[in-house]
Amino acid sequence: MEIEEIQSQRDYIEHCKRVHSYSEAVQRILDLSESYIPDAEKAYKEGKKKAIWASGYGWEVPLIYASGITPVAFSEMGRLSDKETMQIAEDYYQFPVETCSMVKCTVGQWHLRREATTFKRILGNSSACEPYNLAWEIMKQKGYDVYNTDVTYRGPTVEGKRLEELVEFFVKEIYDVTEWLTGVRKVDEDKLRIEIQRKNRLLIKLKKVLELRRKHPFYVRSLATILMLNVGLNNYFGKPDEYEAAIDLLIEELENAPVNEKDLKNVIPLVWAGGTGQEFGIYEAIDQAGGALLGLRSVPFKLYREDIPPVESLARWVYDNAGAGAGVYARNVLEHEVDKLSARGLILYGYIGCSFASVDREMWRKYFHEKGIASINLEGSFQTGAPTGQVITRVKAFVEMLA
Amino acid sequence: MTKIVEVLDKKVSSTITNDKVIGIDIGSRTGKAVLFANGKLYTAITPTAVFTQQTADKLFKELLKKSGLQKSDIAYIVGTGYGRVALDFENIPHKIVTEISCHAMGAHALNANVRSIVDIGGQDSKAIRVDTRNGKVVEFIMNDKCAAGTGRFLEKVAQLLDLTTEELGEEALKATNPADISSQCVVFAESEVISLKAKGAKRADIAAGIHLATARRVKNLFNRIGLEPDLAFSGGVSNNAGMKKALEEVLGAKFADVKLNAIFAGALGGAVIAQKSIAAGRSEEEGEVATA
Repeated sequence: MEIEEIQSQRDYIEHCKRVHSYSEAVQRILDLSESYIPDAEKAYKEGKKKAIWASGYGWEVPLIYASGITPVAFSEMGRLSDKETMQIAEDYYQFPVETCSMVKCTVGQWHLRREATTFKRILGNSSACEPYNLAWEIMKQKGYDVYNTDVTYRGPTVEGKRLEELVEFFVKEIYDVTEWLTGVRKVDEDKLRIEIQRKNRLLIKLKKVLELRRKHPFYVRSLATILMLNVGLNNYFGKPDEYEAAIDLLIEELENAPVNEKDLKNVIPLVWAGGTGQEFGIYEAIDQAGGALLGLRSVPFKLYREDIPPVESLARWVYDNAGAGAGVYARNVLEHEVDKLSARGLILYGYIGCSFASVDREMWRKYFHEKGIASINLEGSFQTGAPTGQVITRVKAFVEMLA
Repeated sequence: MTKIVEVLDKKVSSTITNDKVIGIDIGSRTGKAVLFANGKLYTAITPTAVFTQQTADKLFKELLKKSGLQKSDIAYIVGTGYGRVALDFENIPHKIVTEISCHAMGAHALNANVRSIVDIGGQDSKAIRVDTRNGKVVEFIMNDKCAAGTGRFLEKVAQLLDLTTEELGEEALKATNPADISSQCVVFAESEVISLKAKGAKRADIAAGIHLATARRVKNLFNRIGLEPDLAFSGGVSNNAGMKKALEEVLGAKFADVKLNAIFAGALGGAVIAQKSIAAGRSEEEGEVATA
């Protein structure tokens, strides 16, 4: 199937399954991705699970699971949707066209669900994103129960006393969230500890997968890698045990797969600096051009500390990782990946209308350019089917340039 | 038809073998093709049809007719341009390469000292930096955010001024006081051109103003990736004399001389890459034999 023939994200996932017909583990991961939202909503409807909408990518995930609730990533709801949701945000809610496409898509989906039997609680995470703030305020008016944590931002040089104050502030935030989640201002520390251990276990396993991918660069292609790492590792697609079992199987498959020397000779190692997006054709274009996303901004970088109280561990993890605030923290991860892989290029990907992230991308571009690492800055959409010819041209030309 | 050695840079022409290869560049407005055969270079050009394979087939037939070759004589084809994605050449080894790589290789083949390329096509404009050692892309940037700075933009303006696209560039050369066009959006520029006409501005001055505005857009692309001479101009708009003058003025650099209409640069680059692909295949086979 040619990239241009594919018109929806679900088509891409089906295509990805066919490409990975040799891997039971990848099939399972893709199945988990596809069933994440529908299964969570079905289980909620049948009274089998409690669930909330959440960003579902950071510190809040262990906390939500520890509270007996399934975090359902609202970005995934938008990711597999269609153009109709975008039009709802623009026409019904009058979002300006230039507003972030990811937010508009999510708003459209919440709108469609406003009268359906599904969970109506949204945990917003960080007030740094103005379009999301707007979305959450609108959803409050539509009857959703919305809780938004305050911004967590560690400046480039924040250390020592100031850092301790930030941690203290954030610990309070975590208790506030717990109170909203469960009705009581008390964290079940034993359960949270178990969730932190699970997260660390999975972070280590994903590190192992990424290490093994260096020997088998094309075994897990780009889209499957992104879904496994950018989504699965964050929230386990709502099914932690099944996700972990799929990763265990993948490790086994990779360890037993024969090394193809020709692949190792031909591969063009790339680092992906961006979110997941929805233009899955970009990943296909990378694959078809001989590139492989071997390094990612979302690579499991640091573990949660297990030697301190679990709530404090969540807070310290936030300030010690790529998403701590200033762009330099994410850049450190990228640099680590570029150096580790001797990467030839960096793909900087963001969503149309996201001025917030575009500033970081520009700073990273300049920094890595000075280091002699080529990069390409892509703006992708979050709501449409196949990517535009120009985007594919850019990606392919970039990989050709590095070949 | 012309001799390869008379058109290509000596550095590149010396590497061209007897393999008969074709480069086909299906642009958004025009399809172009170049054939290397028996030391000669053949070209073909046609407007792009709705179905790009039809355009490619037409170009292919025309090249065979001009050269007297059979389909089975062709050893390799490289397809490029926006229509590349739908191309297929049954029973002939082929591959698809982006127009960015092909334009770089094409410009390099015409003048191996070229380090920077302006490529303005019907649909977008690009600034490309080239490695003089091998014609590979070093860095590139594309403007495709809107029609401004593209051939389509110039077509629209030509219509507003009751000129053909070809006449627009010539008209611009007659300007004595180029109009100041501030807008870079086709829609707003249209209003601006209408206002200028209403105020009695000369057609030549408006045409020159439009070309300068487009050139400034291209300059912004080079501000990002850097401009290093020699400079080449490729793509469909490269035949526009007014655009050439405006670009040289705004960029502060002269375009290098080439001996082939630069509209064929992408197809030419495709043909050179086709030759290289055959050579790479051979050396890989030899490597495998040696290893075995």
